[in-house]
Amino acid sequence: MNQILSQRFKEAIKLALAVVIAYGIALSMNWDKPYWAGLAVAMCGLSSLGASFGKGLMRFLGTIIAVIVAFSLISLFSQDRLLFMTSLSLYTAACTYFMGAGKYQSFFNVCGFVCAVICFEGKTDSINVFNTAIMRTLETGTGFLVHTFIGTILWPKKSLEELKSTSQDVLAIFLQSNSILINALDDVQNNSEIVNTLKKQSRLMLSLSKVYDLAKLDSSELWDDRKRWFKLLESVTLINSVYQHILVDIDELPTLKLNTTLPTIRTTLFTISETFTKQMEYLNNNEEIQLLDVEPLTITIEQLAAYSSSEQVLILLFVEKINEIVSYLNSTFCNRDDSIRETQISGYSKLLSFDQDRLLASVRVFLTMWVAFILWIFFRVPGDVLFIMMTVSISMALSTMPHIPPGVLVVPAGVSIFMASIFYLFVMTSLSSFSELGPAIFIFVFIISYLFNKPNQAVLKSVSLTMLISITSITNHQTYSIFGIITIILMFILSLLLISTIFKIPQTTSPEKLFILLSKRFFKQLYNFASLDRFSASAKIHLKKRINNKLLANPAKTLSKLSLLSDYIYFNTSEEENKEKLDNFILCSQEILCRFERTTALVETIDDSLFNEKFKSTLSEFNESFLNDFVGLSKDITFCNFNSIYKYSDIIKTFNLADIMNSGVLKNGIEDTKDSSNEINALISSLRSLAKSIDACKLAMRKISWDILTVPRF
Amino acid sequence: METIPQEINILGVYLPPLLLAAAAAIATTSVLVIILNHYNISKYFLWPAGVYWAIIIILTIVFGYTISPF
Repeated sequence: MNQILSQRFKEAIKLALAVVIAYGIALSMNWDKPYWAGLAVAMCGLSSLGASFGKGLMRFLGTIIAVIVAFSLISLFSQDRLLFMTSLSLYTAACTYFMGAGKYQSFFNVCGFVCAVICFEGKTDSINVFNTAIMRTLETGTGFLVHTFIGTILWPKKSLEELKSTSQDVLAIFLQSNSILINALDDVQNNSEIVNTLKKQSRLMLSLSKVYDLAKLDSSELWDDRKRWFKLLESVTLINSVYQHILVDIDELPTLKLNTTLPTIRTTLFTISETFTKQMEYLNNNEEIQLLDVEPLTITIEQLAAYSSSEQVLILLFVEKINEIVSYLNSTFCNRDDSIRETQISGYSKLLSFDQDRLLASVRVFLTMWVAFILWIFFRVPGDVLFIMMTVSISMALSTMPHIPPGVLVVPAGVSIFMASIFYLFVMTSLSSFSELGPAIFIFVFIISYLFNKPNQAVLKSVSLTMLISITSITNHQTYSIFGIITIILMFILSLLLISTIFKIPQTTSPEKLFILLSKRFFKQLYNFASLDRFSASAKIHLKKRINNKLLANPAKTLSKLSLLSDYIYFNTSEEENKEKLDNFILCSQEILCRFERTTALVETIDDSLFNEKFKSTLSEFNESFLNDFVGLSKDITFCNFNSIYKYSDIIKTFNLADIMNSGVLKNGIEDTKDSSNEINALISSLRSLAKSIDACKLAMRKISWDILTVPRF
Repeated sequence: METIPQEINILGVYLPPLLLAAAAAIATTSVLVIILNHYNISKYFLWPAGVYWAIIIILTIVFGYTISPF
């Protein structure tokens, strides 16, 4: 049964059933306005993935907070509408600001719009405001609980499972990359297979980070274990980048005949493959497994002697890459390491941290609310206070997704209004009991939920269901009026027009424009992070882990917004492959970020007195040039088109192991201490990878047709 | 053409004339900018959002004079 029904079908059934049960309870209890219970369930549809118990609870708590705030506002400012409106709009704007923080999105959404709903309901009928608020809480709570209950017992949504299965796919592709490597040792190469693997690897990595972002919001199990998952994803990103670098240069591998010179390489590669397989098993069964001990590859000067100097560098690079994979393997899917540092800012600091996008969203909601309020006072708007309620709830839902134009709601809402009108006028009039009404509601909700199933259609689904429930306005004492439908349609059109106009302040929010804006911001944040002098002793004292984490969290946040945005960018038909190029750019940017974090962590542990002047000057040259590029890119995204591509790799080429061994990068020679030389080797390898990542990112950026994206649009 | 401001009756729902003129202006502007975007005419404007607002104001006045006097 589980296999026969698609996930889409199951989700639709769950939501339809939840709406019917919520209606059933509210009608049987003879509650006033039972459609609030149905609406509460429909609002649950806002979540991109299924509801977990934690999320349902959040929404219920949000309603309680909203009721308390609404009571406070009414009792404090009921005699002064300006003060009342100012405080309410500021509160709603604050809720919108906090909504953007991610984790508590649904909580603050409910906190904001339910408060506005109760306040305005109270304004029109102040004697019964207490009853209205209590009824609203009761029915909303019922709706949320029913939705959560259904979500928990009926095909519980396993977003963690999705993340695990994507992780398994990633491991499978690593396994494939590894087997390509093993084959290359025997001179067996298949170019098309390599290209396909590289492409698939990039795509999977991108979808892995997207699934992780969504699952983090949805799964409490993942949230509890987020540090481990974060570390895991970081390792996977790094392993991916290492494989990408190896596969790109794989042509030279067979000529080196490493099988004979370095017999252990085959065993190491096989052990890596075996580790990947074991990790896949672990993800499948969730049972602790005994990880294999993968020995890092070692190579002696005698073994290298048979090769020319350029070949020696190649071999050393290759060995270094394999060792890099081995080192990342240790921080794996089944390693419960609690000492993992997380680059994301968590908890309250994230809620309160400054974010210009969130601020803009809250200003927009604030303005929308005020304009709606002024319209209500000075004009006879259709729907009276319902107009403000609808405007606030839609604007809050859209505020966190400015790249989705409000116009996209027209078609789904139109279809929903049409269906609801037919249902209301022709079907409902012939129904006599809930046993007939229930299945009818089920069918209509099922159709809407099935049509708008994708995560990026959550707002469409929610608006369509809201329209359906508002138009039908099912109560125990049902009355029918065409006037109600016309009012709701006009109200919706006016709300949408208002929102689409206000949301164009101060700039239009086309996804292309946002993408460029965020890309520039990413490089600026990267510059802010990279421009700190980490080598001086004073810097090491000041650069506490917290500052580092905070500075790293900003570009990471921007990147996650960028990856979500790339789905909404549409090119002309001639530029279809541009989308893939954008994804590639995002992937390269993610890699740069990971590399930076690694390099910084290494730099912080190394004593800079060990470096000689030559090394220091080359390093500062490298540092200066990429900082210049970041500044350039933060001002003009097409900046990379005017610079040479392989600049960084050229600079960093001088940092190789052979160079250290011969000319002595260390002040006191290589025989100083084994630990120091190992640390510096790791740093050099990390710097080299960073250089390659920046080069790859610049290359990826050159391939994108920025001229199409930079065209000013309405 | 009636020039005295009066509420407009849409299937029993009475709307103020300015509201209707503004709504019609926004709707028309939205369609207009879709066309301008499609034919890449938007690239000739320095601040498209400002142009959008300007068109709305102009059209509101135009509709106010022609369709729905306010």
